[in-house]
Amino acid sequence: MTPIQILLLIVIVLLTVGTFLSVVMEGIRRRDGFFLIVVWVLSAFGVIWPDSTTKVAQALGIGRGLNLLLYVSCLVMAVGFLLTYVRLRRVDRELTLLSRHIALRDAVENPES
Amino acid sequence: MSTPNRVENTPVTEGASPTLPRSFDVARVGVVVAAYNESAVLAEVLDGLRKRFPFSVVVDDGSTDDTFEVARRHSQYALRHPINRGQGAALQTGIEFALDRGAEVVVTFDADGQHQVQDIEKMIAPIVNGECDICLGSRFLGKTRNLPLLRRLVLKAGVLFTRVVSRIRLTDTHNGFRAFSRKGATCIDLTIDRMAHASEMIDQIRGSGLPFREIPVEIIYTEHSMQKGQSSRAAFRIVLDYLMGRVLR
Repeated sequence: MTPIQILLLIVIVLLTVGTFLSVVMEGIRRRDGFFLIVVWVLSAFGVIWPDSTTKVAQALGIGRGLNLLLYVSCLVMAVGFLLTYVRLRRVDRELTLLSRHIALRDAVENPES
Repeated sequence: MSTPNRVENTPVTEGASPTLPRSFDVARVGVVVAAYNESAVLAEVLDGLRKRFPFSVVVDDGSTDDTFEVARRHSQYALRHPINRGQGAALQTGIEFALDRGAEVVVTFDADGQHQVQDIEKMIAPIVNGECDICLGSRFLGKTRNLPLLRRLVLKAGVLFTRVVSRIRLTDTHNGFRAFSRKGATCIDLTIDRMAHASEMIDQIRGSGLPFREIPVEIIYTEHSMQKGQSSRAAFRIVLDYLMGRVLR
């Protein structure tokens, strides 16, 4: 095993433990935690057996393992952006409803009118 | 292209005298003004309003100047969003408040002095007379003073966009001067907070099936209103906001 593989595996193990602890302490949702742990485990496979990505890529008709990683990364990023945008919109909506509630509750009537 | 709920058989022409019944009490008209950092001109606008329409509701959308203080002194009701949420959010707050206080007609009126108080009667007359539930002000049917060419082109592009996307035929889609019957105002539930709310409102008007009409109104562009208004570049963001709002609704 090369030094870079060892370094990457250490990082992946730390990320896996961190994700696991986040799920246990309810920092992130169980579904999100499970998804992340699957990603870390697959990454570990890719680090230990680098040729495995090429085999999967060839099976999918892509050719090189590196290209497969690039395509998957792009897809994950696009989905991540969309999910973050949707969540931001939800938070934005809740902020508006809260602001409205406060404004309606604290409405001031002009005594001279 | 036909818009099923548009009332066209009895158009209101420019300069037509308002025909409010004598028995109609103007105190039942809630005029909603959304204001953000408008302390420079707001007092004048509200004083003009108050002479004819006492039931005014100002929603200060988290201003950093004295807008709320001015609103408190010069309108009947002053509300304040603790943080800036956008004109659509402020209008929805004001409409809900006006309905809660028993308004029978709700008018939305700009805070920057572009709209004319004398046009309100023209806007609400068809509603009070039971001819339609919603009246939309149109600067292109009425008079427009000092409208820059670029702004005119952007507004016309908005009209075309609305015709294609919302399938509704209007001459002015982004005019903040509107009047609603109580029933019409109840159908409005804006979820797009920022400027794209105007297009969302048109979708909701179409979706409500309630009869509506366009009314010619006079818009006066002043140096202040041009500074405060949206830049023509913002049109792209408005389109994006609106389309995302439709997709993710």
